[in-house]
Amino acid sequence: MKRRRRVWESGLKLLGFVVITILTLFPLYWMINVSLLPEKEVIRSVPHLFPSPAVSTLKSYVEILTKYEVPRYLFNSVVIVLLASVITLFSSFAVAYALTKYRFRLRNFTQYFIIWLVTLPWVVYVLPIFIIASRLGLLDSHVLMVLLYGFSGIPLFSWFALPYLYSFPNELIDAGRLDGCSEWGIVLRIVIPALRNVLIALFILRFVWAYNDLLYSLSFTFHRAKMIMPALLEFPGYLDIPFAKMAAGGFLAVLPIITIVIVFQKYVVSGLVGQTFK
Amino acid sequence: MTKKPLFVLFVLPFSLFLISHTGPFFYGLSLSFFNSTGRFIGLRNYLALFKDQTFWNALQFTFTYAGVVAVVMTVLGLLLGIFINSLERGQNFVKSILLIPWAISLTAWGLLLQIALSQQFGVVNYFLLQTGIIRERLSWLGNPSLAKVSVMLARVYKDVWFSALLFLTARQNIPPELYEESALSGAGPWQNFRYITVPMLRPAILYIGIILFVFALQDFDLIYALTGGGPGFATEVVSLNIYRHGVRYGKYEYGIATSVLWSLIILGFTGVVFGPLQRRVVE
Repeated sequence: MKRRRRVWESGLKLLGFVVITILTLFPLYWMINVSLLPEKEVIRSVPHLFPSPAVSTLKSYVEILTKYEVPRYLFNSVVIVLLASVITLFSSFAVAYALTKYRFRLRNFTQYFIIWLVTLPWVVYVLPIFIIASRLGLLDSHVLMVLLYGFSGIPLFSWFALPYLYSFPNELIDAGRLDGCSEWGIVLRIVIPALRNVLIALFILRFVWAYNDLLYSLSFTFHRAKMIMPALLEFPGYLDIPFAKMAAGGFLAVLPIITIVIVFQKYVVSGLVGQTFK
Repeated sequence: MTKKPLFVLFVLPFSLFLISHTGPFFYGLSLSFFNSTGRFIGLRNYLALFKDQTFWNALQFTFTYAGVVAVVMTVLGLLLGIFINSLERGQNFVKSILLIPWAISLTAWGLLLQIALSQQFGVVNYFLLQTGIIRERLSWLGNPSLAKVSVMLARVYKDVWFSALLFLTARQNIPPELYEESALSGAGPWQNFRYITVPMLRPAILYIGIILFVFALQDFDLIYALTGGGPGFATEVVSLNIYRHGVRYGKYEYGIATSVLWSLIILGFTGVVFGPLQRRVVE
């Protein structure tokens, strides 16, 4: 009786394991599959379930890489988001540090204010920023995008960093002060090294989110500083939607993030769980 | 406490956000009382907004969408997390692939689903037909009611694994002694779930649910890439509505008035619903 239950249990677990594996890997597989088919072969009522050598081709990749400047858009995205993530990281870390380790007027108010800013959707800033940036002649420039992605994450990432700094022992900071460390020395030599992993985690989270964002990149970049996400929407088709090119572009755009996520897997989760389990 | 570190560590970085975002927001607020030729028109943009049925529909759909997405992702994520925790073999493998759908951007996801959900050529209809679940090809993105379901399903499918991973981590932080004790008193898996796992995970459930809801209210990318708010305006959310009026139609002042109203609604909602919860998160 007990034995039979065991068999059932491990059978169910195996089934669940298989289902989860298929469901999580299928989308990426399908993206690669479609990207390797000629456009004509995507549009058929019995889809090719795998890119058989008879039909598959790298034509879509060649086309988007040579005709549509995809390499430049990818480069723009990576450079802009890399610089912006550094800005977000250090600004948010500084804000969170000040909010937890210094007492000053408006401190509690600021904490509530930050939470409100976190819940406020980014879309409400788009139109006024658009008007101001166009007056300043900054639309479609790399500088604007670095600054916007750098600054827009400050409330959210300060909020993510808060619990780690709350639980950072004050004794270590006081010990540093007693040893004659300056306030800067404490931050640079004690706090930052101790929280290295947290900083890496938040950096990766910011990089992934900003890189994947469509709202700002679509609204503020058009040609010169054009980023990869809005570019994906614009592969022109003649009569049909250019599915294979969209899939190929999508796969190239996803590649850097997949790499980061696989390499730095454990950091991604730890960047968020600070809030969850304190 | 000296003033200088506080200035550099707090005032400076925080004002970067205030200058680049909050400042323009208030500038926008003042613009919302003008029309596009720069003439002062008082509250007329807001009055037009109150009569705009597409805005109210978008508002309603935004809350439905965010509510459904947050609840389904929390509940399903919790169950998946607990299930993955019970796997003895293959757990590390599953953990490593859970983040792959999350890494795909919502834009690329939307484009991929345009292909997969296509009525004639889509793999989803193909599989459902082959397995006999449906008799004829469904118009996933062309039928207004079905399109609403499609965008919610699309969102849940992509990120439920991520919430599962968060719950898995939370589950593994519960001290194993609790389960050892309950095994001694002869409790079954259901009792464990009901009296240990869920109560211990309550803070995580609350936090993840709220975060997912807040993020889902802001969703723009997926819906823009998948349906563009269509068919008609069936799947339009508020952020798309603002983008459409402001950027596509060039009616900045009207779009900004919508933004202002939208942020007031969020402010009210945050205060009333999340106020008591926030205090817990702050302290």
